[in-house]
Amino acid sequence: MSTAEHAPPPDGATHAPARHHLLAVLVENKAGVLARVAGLFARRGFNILSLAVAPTADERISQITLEVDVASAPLDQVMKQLDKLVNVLEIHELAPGEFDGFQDRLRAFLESDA
Amino acid sequence: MQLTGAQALIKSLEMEGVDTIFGLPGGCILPVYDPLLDSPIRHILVRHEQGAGHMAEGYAHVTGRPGVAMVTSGPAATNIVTPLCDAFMDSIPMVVITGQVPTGAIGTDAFQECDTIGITRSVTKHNELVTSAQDIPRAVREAFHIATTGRPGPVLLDIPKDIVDANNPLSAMRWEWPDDDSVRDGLPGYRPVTKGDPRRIREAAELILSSSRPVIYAGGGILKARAASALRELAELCDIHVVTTLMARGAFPDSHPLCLGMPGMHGNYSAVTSMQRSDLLIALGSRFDDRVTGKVPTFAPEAKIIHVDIDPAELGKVRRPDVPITGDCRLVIEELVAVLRERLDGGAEAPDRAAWKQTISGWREKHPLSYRPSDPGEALKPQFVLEQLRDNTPDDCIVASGVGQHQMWTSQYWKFDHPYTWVNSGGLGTMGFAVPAAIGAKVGRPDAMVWAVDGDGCFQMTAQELVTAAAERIPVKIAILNNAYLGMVRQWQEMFYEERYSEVYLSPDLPDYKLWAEAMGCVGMRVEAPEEVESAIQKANEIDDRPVVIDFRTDASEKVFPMVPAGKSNDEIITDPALGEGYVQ
Ligand SMILES: Cc1ncc(C[n+]2csc(CCOP(=O)(O)OP(=O)(O)O)c2C)c(N)n1
Ligand SMILES: [Mg+2]
Repeated sequence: MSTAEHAPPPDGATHAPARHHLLAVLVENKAGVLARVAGLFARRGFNILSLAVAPTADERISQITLEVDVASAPLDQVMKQLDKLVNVLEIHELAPGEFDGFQDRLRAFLESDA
Repeated sequence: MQLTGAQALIKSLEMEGVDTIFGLPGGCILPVYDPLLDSPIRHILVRHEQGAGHMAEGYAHVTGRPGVAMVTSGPAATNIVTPLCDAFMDSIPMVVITGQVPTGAIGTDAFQECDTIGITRSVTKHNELVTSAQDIPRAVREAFHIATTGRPGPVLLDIPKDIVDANNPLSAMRWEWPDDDSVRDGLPGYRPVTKGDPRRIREAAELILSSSRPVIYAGGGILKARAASALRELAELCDIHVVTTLMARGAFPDSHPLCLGMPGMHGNYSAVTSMQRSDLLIALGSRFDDRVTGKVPTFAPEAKIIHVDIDPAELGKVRRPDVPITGDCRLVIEELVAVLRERLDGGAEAPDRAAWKQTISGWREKHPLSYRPSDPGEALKPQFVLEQLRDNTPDDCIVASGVGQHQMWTSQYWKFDHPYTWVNSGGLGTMGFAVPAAIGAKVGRPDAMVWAVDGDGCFQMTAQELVTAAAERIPVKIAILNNAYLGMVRQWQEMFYEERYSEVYLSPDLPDYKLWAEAMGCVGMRVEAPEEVESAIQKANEIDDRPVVIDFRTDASEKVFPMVPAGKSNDEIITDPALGEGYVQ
């Protein structure tokens, strides 16, 4: 979960500076969905810096929150590809403010015994 | 009604209107093969599961209905990965059913277990491990719905043995066929957009009305959306030339005066160059594939882009469109035509395009497809064989091809005047596609004549399916353009590797194709002289009770032109074979 400098994505497609983005992906709570989502990033050589899966108030839906290191243009493409996954319901990019909060919550969670 | 999972699976396929399954049984899928005996569905027993997959694709190509393949677990599932990827790349609707080890054994490295879902995740539009017999009808309905709607593609269902095995209590289920609403509700994340945004469509119409050098860049999406007549209406209404990509051959008639034929790496000079010089590309169900664009930053540099595709992820993937429209090509084109018609009736006028049309005619005259005919005693020219085949088969003959030089020549020299007559592997470029795909096409369209044009290299990859065709009396006809080489690779080595030929020679008579064909229950012929070509084709056309294979001995030194070398700009198109001689990158 480092926030240090990262090498550019190995796909060579992007020349824009890499940036951190935080995505909230609402998915159907079904087996294998996390692998589908993570697989789309892996296939393009994008590094996932942090990732959390949590239930939502609706037990049929889970939220996957991902922090990724991608320039904006390829990110747009991955988000469109994600949206095509049959089990993906919604994708939001979270604002930097929400980003800080996420890091804090995640750290607190990891430091607790939960 | 109480059924076993196996009965429910077959009944579900019947409910989906499936008339043919291409497959091969084995341990885990065995229980499903039993109720198949009592079903009206025709099963075609293939000799290799890759064949089943490509047959299902060929069937889907020509009928528009999803092809269905059924195979067992483990090695059978891995054998069908290539066709899945092929169908995924070319957006072919297909449903593949694989057997899986019993639910309790999953994850134990059981005999013939493999992680089929994991392996096929990135080459399917969707896949699902069905874990209970009760879920089978829902899973099948969803699979067909997903495979055939939106951007079509392959869907795989992995079925563990215990939920279909009549001897296992887990296979007991109560039959219930889900209705449309429950399918919709069961797929909350799947809502393909088919209707284009009216505001964008009006913007597109204005761009068309103001452009001086427009070109329609028609892709495979036109065929998927059954939009060929809508496309023709648009082209004729606005008098705009059309290029048809490798996946769209037949979507607009080659004999139409506005048709420029295939663009891209081996496209017609006029198709490639009119795109390069255009001021507006109207991309309809095409995806700016690298084989079409060449070096992307230099592709059609002055063109504005209207891009229509049912898959929003295609819009802006390669080239940023000025007017992106997500939607079904047929619906969007029909709307666009309506808006244009209204504007034209209201007195709108496009700029004078006479000079542009003149320029295009000039390119067509100056750079037609050409080859040097063979001298007496020389090997056959592949282009000559194709011209003969084209001229001695019915106008609506279906032609499938493998991958390589013969594929490019077929696309170039055939005259496609009807949609759904061209069956080929575009995106994945799968050698071995032609024979099984032609068989699947003939099963789907028994009324049509089906030829495959294959390379000698490709033929050797899947020829065993001719045994299937002979046994099932599926009278496909195969023309092997036998140049004794992996010809396309040889061409690259000749042009870009200083004629250093590395591992491309195959031999013209090892195997003996005529004998091999006969051993597989086909009629085999060999043709070496130009004057024998036509009569051999006519003889093949008359054979209707078994497959025919003709081994045409062709000139190995012949190369495919025009050519835009890989990674180069489309401006660097090489048209003259003589200029290609000794061309170094
Ligand atoms: C399965 C597979 N392996 C390798 C290739 C690379 N490849 C493309 S064309 C070609 C040569 C095909 O030879 P042949 O079938 O004889 O056709 P020709 O080019 O001679 O017409 C090869 C090896 C491929 N497309 N598919
Ligand atoms: Mg060859």
